Amino acid sequence: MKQTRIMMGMPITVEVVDHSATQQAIDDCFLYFQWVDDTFSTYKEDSEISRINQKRMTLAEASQPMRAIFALAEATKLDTDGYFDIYRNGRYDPSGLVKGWAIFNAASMLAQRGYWNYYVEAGGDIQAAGHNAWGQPWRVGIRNPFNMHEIVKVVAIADGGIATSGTYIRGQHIYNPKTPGELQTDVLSLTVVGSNIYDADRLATAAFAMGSEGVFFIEKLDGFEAYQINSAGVATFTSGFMRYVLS
Amino acid sequence: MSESKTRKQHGSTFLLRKYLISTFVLASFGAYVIHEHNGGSTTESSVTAGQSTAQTNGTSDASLATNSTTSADTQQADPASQASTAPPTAQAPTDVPPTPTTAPPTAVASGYKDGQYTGQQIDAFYGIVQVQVDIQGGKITNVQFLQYPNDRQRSAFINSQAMPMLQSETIQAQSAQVDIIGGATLTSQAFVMSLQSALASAKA
Repeated sequence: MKQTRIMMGMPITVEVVDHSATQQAIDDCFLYFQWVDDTFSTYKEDSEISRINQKRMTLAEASQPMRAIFALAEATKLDTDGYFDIYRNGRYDPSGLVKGWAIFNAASMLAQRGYWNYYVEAGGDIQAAGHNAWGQPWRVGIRNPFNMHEIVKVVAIADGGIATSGTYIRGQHIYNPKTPGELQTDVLSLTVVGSNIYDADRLATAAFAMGSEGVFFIEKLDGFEAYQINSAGVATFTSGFMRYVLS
Repeated sequence: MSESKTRKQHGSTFLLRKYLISTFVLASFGAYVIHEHNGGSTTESSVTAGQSTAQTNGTSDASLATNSTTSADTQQADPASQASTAPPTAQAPTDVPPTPTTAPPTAVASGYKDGQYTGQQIDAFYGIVQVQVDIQGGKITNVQFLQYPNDRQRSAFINSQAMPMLQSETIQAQSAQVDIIGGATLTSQAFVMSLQSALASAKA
């Protein structure tokens, strides 16, 4: 059973291959993402995060999940030498953390219902468990940053998360004569594989911001591997990445 | 007594000289190793931090040129095909007024009035994407980014010395079947949405 919906400005897919899968279980995942969007979207006037930013609510008055996200953000800031910071331009924007966290929680909801074989994917970031409909580990293609219709690597994810930071349009900033040289252009995409999507996502975000040094940052961490593609079409990957590679 | 003292002094001078020479030889060898390591051949498949930077700098001009040609093609061709063949990506997010582009592909090339049009700001979840499109002679001549989620840029020195050797390869398209595709797609979809709204106003 597999469904895709556009939420939070991106396609979100939930697939469960256990025979006992129900529509209710999948609906609940999407309801959860809707709650996440309503609570954490900085583009919604009345979301909880907007009320905090508008000083209509203090952090002490905030909900337990909101306070949890702020605590996680503080921990991530320390973990990433300050590269990951939800506070900028006088506002809090935890969206870089919330996405991976929400995928992980939605996947955990499926586990709690007793499912073994499923994945939750939001905007190209994935938490997978068990195997696919053919009894093999989930096969995840890493998108080509030069051509969004192609994949450049296939990795096997049995139980874990995979997140990519970057975008295929990154090289196109050269069309904008007002900003040459301002953007980090050498790294187009950086994919992180790990035991869970929450960590993979936040680390991918931080490592991508580091430019070409990002892959070295991941190399230093136990339990995480990375595949980084630069603007010359050359990929650099961590010493344990090949363990995941199918082709 | 004094003779033995002199011999002792001779001995210690000799020893000192021996140490100095050994140190010099070792230091020279060390410097040579470091020099070879840093400036060594870039044809090796393994790279260190310094080498990967050098590689990127050396080839960036060529790659940018390639990018500009391929991107130009995609930008002129994609919006039409995306709008007509991929309904899911054409849907606007709930908090943005919908801007449907329902015209058939044939009308796309000829239906625009000349001018400069600004697309809507589209929420790519981690930032805002907004494009501006120039139309001349009924065709898209340029697409610029007015807003782009780049506020996570930071510049700081990360110590990557004494790191194990990483491997590298030239990326190649894979034809294998996959269950899921991972990768950064958000901004590209936001790009298409903003472009569609700019083109919709170019028609009006």
